[in-house]
This record gives sequence, structure tokens and C-alpha cells, in this order.
Amino acid sequence: MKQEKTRPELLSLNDGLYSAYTVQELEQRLETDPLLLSAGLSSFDGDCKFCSPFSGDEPCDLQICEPYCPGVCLELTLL
Amino acid sequence: MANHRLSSYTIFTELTDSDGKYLLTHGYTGAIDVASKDIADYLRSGAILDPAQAPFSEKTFQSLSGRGYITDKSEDEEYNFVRRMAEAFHKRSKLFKGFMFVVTYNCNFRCPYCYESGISKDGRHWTKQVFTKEMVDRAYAAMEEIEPVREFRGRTITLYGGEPLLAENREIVEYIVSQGKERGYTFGAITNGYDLESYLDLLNPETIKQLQITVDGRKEWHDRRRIHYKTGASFDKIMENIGKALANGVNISIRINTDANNFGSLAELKELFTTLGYTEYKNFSFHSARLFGDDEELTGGSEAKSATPKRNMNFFTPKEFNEKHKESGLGITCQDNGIFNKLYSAIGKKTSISFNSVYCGVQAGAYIFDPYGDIYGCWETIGKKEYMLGSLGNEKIEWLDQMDIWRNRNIGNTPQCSKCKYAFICCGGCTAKLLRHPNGVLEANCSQFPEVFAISANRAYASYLANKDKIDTPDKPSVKQ
Repeated sequence: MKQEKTRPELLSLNDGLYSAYTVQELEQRLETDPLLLSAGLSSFDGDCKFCSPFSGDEPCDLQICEPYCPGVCLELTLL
Repeated sequence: MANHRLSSYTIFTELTDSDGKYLLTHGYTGAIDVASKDIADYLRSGAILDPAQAPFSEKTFQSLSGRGYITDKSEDEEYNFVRRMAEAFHKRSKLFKGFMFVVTYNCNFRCPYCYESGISKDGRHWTKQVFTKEMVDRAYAAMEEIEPVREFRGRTITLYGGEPLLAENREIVEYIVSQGKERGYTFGAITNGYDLESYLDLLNPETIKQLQITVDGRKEWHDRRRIHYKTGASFDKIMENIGKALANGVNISIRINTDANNFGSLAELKELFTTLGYTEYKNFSFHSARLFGDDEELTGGSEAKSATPKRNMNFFTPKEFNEKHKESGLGITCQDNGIFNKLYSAIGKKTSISFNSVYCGVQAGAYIFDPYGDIYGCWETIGKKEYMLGSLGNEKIEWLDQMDIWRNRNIGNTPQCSKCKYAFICCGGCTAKLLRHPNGVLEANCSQFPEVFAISANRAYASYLANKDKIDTPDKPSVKQ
């Protein structure tokens, strides 16, 4: 095992990863209180910069993004 | 001590402009990291990964484990976790219902590549059917029957066709939107933009607030493909209408249907939008969409090149399409299955990659009502009775078995997808393209996804480097391409 170099060998670009815990939380929420999963979904109004092609200054380039597709909304978070 | 191995869901992308570094992406934790070539080589060595033998620090080893790239799970344990995660995501997606009205199948354009042209076989009379007021009322009632919980019904209804905004159908469109507004809905429309002047009073942020309009490159190319049945040329009128709708505050997304023939005109079109002042509007955007042929739909595989040119079209494969856009340096957004947005957004917001286990609403909660009272899930199959999900009926919806075929597919129950490291990003591909696949829809529709991923991942990382100061410093606007 080498000592860590002065510069990090691995640069993490994001956080908030999925895990067994977050999946379990989602499963429980689906069972007990699914309505909470709809809270704060701007994308579900058709205004999401990801899930709608009508996104103003940040156009969506998803092939799947057609505005009737709430099921693929990328702004849906786990909880 | 547990045996550590490389996770089966680790994606290695060589960063072409970064001295041999690799972008690591994890297919079920959603992690994104930059690693040295040494790390990448060690991870891919095929060996049991031992922290004592690793050519890097223990801290790095622990980081790699924590982010999912090194795992003590067996292959089967990982597959099972992915399947479980996919089911949970699919259940979540199914909560939400989105609705679309096919106002009519009739259209005033005669585009050579139109995928709906097949339904014209039933004759002009068949395509001219239009929603009646009674059917509009029935459709709104059906929406509540489908989903009684208001919060799970999408609040924007899409108008589609044929051409949904034909001048001659103004009265029924007005009825649809007035009835919808009373119920709290707003509207979007997928339109060719030719008759918009007949709808200007309905085009505003409170009524029809969004339009997707197709423009096929500069005038020369557009007029050759987007042919009005009477006047032929349509470009100038559409351009004028776009300006009027923008002034009304409507969000306009221009879709440029692109193949190798008209690719060269994208730069001119972009310049024209600037000259006309449209790019000054915050509510204006444009993107390039890849045209493809019928045979590509049939095969559904990774060999995405359409063998048969269709009426003088010269199709790109997904890889060619993305390479050409990257090489052009035009900065025009192009379809890449959302890979760039997913990665760059995760980096910019410092969150996991947004995963899903279904590719499209047809696998979850999309409902499309046509003027015959038939219900479809996918707009690529509207008018084809064999793919109907059901019909409105007089008082109660009559569902058909087709529903299960569409709604049950996710990446967890599609064998090839559940073992694919890209699956939660790719989401399994378009179901409609697999309808005539000999093995049915529980197949992967890869469409060169790994190749496109490599291009878009490099693009996302380059954009990150270009905006690094903003992204890594809190309280500043972060995600901007």
C-alpha cells in the first residue's frame, strides 16, 4: 500500500449516492406514503429542464424527454 | 476479511484530453470520479483487490469501496440489488400519470420521413376525424378515472397529431384548453408551427404555454422536407410565427430533424436564429434530433445503422450523430439519451446521477387519447389498433391486454439490461422499437449507448473543467453548459 500522494489519486465529482438504505427508504415510502413522492416536482409541471423539451435557456436533449413522460422525470429524487 | 473485486457496474471512460485519466461512473450508486490510469489499470486487472497490494493509498481504496467501484458483493448479489432497485424506481414512476390529446390525425404537411404516414393507409377520411366536445368531456372524466389523486396527474397536457393546431380545428382546440383550464391544466403542443397565427390568443403562459416546432435546417433543406400540402414551402411562415409566439411569452423548443444531408445547414440556422433575435429570448431553445430508418426500429440492437435509405434520407448512427456534433464545435445540443445532462447535472449539483428504470412514460403512466376514443401509451404507435391500451368507452374505460406488455417492462426484468452497467442511465431504450423484435419487448435496445456514453461523458467532464470555479464554489450559479 502506498501513502497517499500530495494530490488526490481519486477526485470525487458528486455525492448523495444510492445505497441499500436509500432504496429501502423508497420502498417503504411507496408502501406507506406515496403522495409525499409527488412533493416539489417542478418537472411534473412540465417545466423541468431535464424532462421537458420546453426548457427555456437549458434545452433538454433527451430522446425520452417528451413532455407527457412524467415517469422518466429526472428531477424525481428518491425521497 | 471479505474478498474485494471490481464491481460489475463500474464504467470506465478514458478522458481523451486529460493525460490518460479515466472518468469512473458507477451504474447503481451513481458515483462519478476522476481516477488516474494506475487506479483504472489496477481495478481492471481482474484480480481479487487487496488493499495491501494496491498501488495507491488505503484512503483511496476506501473511497473506491465507498463509492461502489470496489465491492465485496458477488455478481449475483449485485444483479439482485439492481433488480430490486429497478422495481422500486418503476413503482415510483407508475405513480405519475401524463396525458396527451391527439386532436386529429390530419396534417397539412407531407414530410417524407413521417413515421405516422403508415396510418394514412386507412384513407383521408379516416385521418380527418377530430375530437368532438363530447369526447373531450369524456377524456377529462377518464383522466380522473385513471388517476383519482390530483397530485399524481401531470398538470400540463400535450396536444399532438397529425397537426394539433390546424386553423380549421381552432374551435375544438379552444374547447379542450378552456375545459382544461377550468380543471387546472395548462398545455403544450407538438406542432409544425404553420397555422399558429390562428391560435395567438391561446398562446400564452397560462394556456398553451409550450410549443415544440420542427425546423429542418436552413430554408433550402426545410422546404424540401417540411412540405405544406398546398403551398409547398413552409419555412418563412414558420419563422414569422415563432417570433409572434415568443413575443407572447410561450416557451418554444425548436427540434431540428437531422441527417447527414442537412447537417451542414445547422450553423446557418443557428446564425439565423441569432439574426432574428430569437436567441435573446429566455423562452427559446433549439436542439438537433437524429432521424433514423424503419429497419433500425425493427432490429433494436446496437447495430444502429439503418441499412435502407428512406426517401433520400442519409441517416446517422447514434455514434456518428454525436461525433459530428462534437466535431462541429457549434455547441448545438443534440440527442444523446440525456447522458450529458445526467452527468453534468450530477456534477453541478453534487448529487447522484438521476437514475430511472424505464425509458419512457409508456412503461409507466403515459395516456394518449385519440379522436376515435382509443387510448395509446406511445405516440409512435398511435393509430395502430394492435397497440391500443384501451378505449374511453361511454362511461367506463375498457382496457386491453396490451397494457401489460408496455407497462411491465423495466431494466430489472429485461435480462440483458439488469446485468448492464449502463442500464440505470440508458433505461433500456425505446420499447416501441422492440415491438416486432422476435424475442419481444423484454430485450435491450442499446442503440450504441456505450459509444455515445463515452462521447458525452468526455463532453460533461470538459464542461465541468470549463466551469469548475462556479461549480465548486457554493452560492454561484453552477450548471451551465
